[in-house]
Amino acid sequence: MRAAAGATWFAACLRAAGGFSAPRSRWRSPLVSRSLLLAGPAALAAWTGACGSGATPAPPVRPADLGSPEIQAVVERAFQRAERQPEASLAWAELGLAFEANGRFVEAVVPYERAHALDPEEPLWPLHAALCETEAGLLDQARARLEASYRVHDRFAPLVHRLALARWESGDFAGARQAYERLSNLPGGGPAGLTGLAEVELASGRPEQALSLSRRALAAQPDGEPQDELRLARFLGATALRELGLLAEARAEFAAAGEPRRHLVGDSWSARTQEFAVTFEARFAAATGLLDGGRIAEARGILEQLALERPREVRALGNLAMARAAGGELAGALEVCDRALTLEPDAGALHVARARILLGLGRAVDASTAVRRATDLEPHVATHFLLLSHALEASGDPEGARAALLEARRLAPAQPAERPLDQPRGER
Amino acid sequence: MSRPLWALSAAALCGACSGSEGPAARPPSSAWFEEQAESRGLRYEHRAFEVQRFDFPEIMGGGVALLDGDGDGDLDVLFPGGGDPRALPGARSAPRYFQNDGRGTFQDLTAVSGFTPGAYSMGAACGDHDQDGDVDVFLTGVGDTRLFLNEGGRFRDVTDAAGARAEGWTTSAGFLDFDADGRLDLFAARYVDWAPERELDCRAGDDVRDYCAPTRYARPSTALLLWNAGAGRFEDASARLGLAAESAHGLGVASLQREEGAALLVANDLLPNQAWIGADGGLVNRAMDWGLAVNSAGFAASGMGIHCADFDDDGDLDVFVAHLRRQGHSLFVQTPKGTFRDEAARCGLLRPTLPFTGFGAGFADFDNDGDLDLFVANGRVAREHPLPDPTNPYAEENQLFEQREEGRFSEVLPRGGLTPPCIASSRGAAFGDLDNDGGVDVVVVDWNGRARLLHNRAHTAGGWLGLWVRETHGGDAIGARVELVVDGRSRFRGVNPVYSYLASNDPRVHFGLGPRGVAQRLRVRWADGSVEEFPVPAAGAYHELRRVRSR
Repeated sequence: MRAAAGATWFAACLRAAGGFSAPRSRWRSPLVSRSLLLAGPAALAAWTGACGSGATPAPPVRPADLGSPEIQAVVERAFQRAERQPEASLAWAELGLAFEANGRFVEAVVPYERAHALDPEEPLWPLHAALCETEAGLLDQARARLEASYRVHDRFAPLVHRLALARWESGDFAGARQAYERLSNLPGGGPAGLTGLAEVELASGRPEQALSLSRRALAAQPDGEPQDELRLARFLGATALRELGLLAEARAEFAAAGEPRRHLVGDSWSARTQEFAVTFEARFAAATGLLDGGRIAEARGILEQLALERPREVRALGNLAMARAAGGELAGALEVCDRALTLEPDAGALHVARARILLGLGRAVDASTAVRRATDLEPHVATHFLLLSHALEASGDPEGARAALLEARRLAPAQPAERPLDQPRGER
Repeated sequence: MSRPLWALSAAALCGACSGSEGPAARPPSSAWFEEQAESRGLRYEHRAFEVQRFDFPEIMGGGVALLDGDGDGDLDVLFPGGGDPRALPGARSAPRYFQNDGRGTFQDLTAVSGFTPGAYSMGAACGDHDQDGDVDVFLTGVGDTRLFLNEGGRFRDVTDAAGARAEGWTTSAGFLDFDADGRLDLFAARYVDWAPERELDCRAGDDVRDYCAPTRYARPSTALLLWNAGAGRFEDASARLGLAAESAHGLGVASLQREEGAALLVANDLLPNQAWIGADGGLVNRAMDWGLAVNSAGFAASGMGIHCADFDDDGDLDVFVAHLRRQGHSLFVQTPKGTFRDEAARCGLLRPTLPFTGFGAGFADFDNDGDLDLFVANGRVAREHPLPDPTNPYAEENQLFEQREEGRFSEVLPRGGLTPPCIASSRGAAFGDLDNDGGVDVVVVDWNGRARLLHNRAHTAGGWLGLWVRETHGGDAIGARVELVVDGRSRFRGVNPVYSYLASNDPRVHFGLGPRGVAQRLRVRWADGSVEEFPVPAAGAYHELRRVRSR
């Protein structure tokens, strides 16, 4: 099995458990610092005024009880490091990340604010303060912080993307359009910016423009992986076609889009999450983020450990199976997948994973048996039938393959879903 | 909607200093609701379990129905159940039935009501399925369903005789005439294929035991349609009509009246919503074609409470669906082409709802200013920091939204329309005027908590007109649509008790008229498409409109 195919599967199946988006790229604008210097004192004054008093905020107070000894310990270590280097912005930011990585978003804000006060040229700290505020439901504060940061760091794509989305969510379509236009002109922001613009045009009742923008977004990465942002662009194009009355074309595009997911431009600080995540769920989320970003070896290291700690935790086993498979260790992947299936024999996603591994091993007949189990369990999932079609084709059953393909096409317009092992988006 | 100048100024000032939108500025003294369950005798406590085992049904809560069970012209209240998902049938808790004295005060008549203990009941549907002029009751829940026949204000279990028993975990349900044959059928959502032996060990972010998501359970479910064959008999037509062909995690149901007939909507949790409509002798799911299946970003969100209503008064029905925290709710606005566009962001309902998990939900003109407002009963299903209430990790505040400039909503403070705010894990919510004073009240069932009666204090801002719209046989004309022309402008309201979550709502039609509104014309479009015009009755009271021309 090719690693890329496995990674694609990860993207659909192994969703990060809440928190911020998984790292997609190690984005860091080289012009961040320069932009602040060029902006001059007025921008600095605007920035500090908008985000607080402008003075260094008071040090964070140690939380008495975080409800988990593991989280308490990692936070305490970060606290001690920060206290030893009170002028080091990085130390305070690491304290912020210690909270953030373990789901204590409210507590993370003050350390990030302190880091930002010590190093106002660094856009990561206000970005992560805003991310934590967003996760905690403090949306007005998050947007105010993003707006203020944008005045200084308007070339930092992760921040621009977050701001555009916050504006869009508020119904501020003009503001969202401006930010997405900015994003589309930034390095690494192209498809995401165009996709966002398509979403704005659609929401504004202009499907023709939305269709054009979605096609530009798709054309921007013609040979790339079918990443989530492109799936979203395709979905938006399909929606535009439907609104234009072109239902047949829309149905085909919906089928091609699958289930899209909004993927925000990643940042280098999020990539350090796994260093600080201590609870099982936090580490699982970190590993999932690494898988999503294609960092297979690091993800596998965490998952091997998690599987040792919780040998009956099916999600960890399933993801470990795919990590091993993506790393080329197919026999080991099959072994752990079988172990997971003994625990949850009715988990459709595990049967799909097993089928993919078996295909990689050249056992097409066994693969088709495995995927049939998934279609029995989840007859509503179009992509299962797509996989069944591949397996039957490979095992020399072209008629069966064609029937499975037709069933996938029948299901796809009504059912754009490839179900994950766990579905943590939203509150879950 | 007109507002006092001071309120506008306060809102503008708030926006200027925060740089962002905030809830509508209303002083705490002007809370729209007052909690009066205890003082009005509505004493009911929902029990999700006897021993917390983290069985999935425990967290999904209980429902409530508002119905005129004794036919005296006011709304009685039924709480379907709860108890213990693993208890034997005889040990399960009975529904609780409260009779209204006409002034909005209640007496517990459970003992003589005829409602008996049964399954782990959750939701209720109310309708006159046998066309004898009174309202019958269908209960949903884990394991089976039950049908109670109304016999002069007392109820008798006729489930087996009527062929109304269905397996699985049914949630929201409604009596709807999907095939326009004049008889009310029963439509119910089913959630997951759950049994105690299939329960899983799921964990929250800090490794504490928690409830699982529906996708962790291997088998989803399918919607249920009990076709009314006449003479008080039902037939499970789910497979024959095609419903069983598509999987569902159904939590909410609604009826969408369209030119081509009544569509049956299912709000699904992490599967695309469904919109079933008759075609070729069966039912087909047109949700994706119509734009109702997924949200504006293509995501099959966690659909729970649902309500179809013409919130923008443009003559067609729009669809609201409540979702989980971080997903934001959807408001699918119908376009002139008959498709829908999720415009929650434009309408001001996306960002304010992102931090909350919505269940029971409904539009109503709470302040009688002429346009529809929105109430959402919130409560989490998973443990996540920050916890608003350390003693209940699933607690949140409810939310109330006022429609201001046309089609755009602003959150009303104090949050949820209550002072002090209630932080609870709310589930079922039913909407209706309990004391016939022209104000739409709300009954909310909190998970493992006491039911709340939110008595409306905001309704005096405008006049109102209430209509009890009935078929020739005397039953509620479910599916009919009433058009009232007020000051030259048409407003449309449906005879529709089927919305929200696990709820059955006031079947009467309520119009707010605004401070000086004068109703000029009244027409009813019956479920079969025929139209009758009626003289406009006096405002400030409920009136019966009985169908003159039979089918």
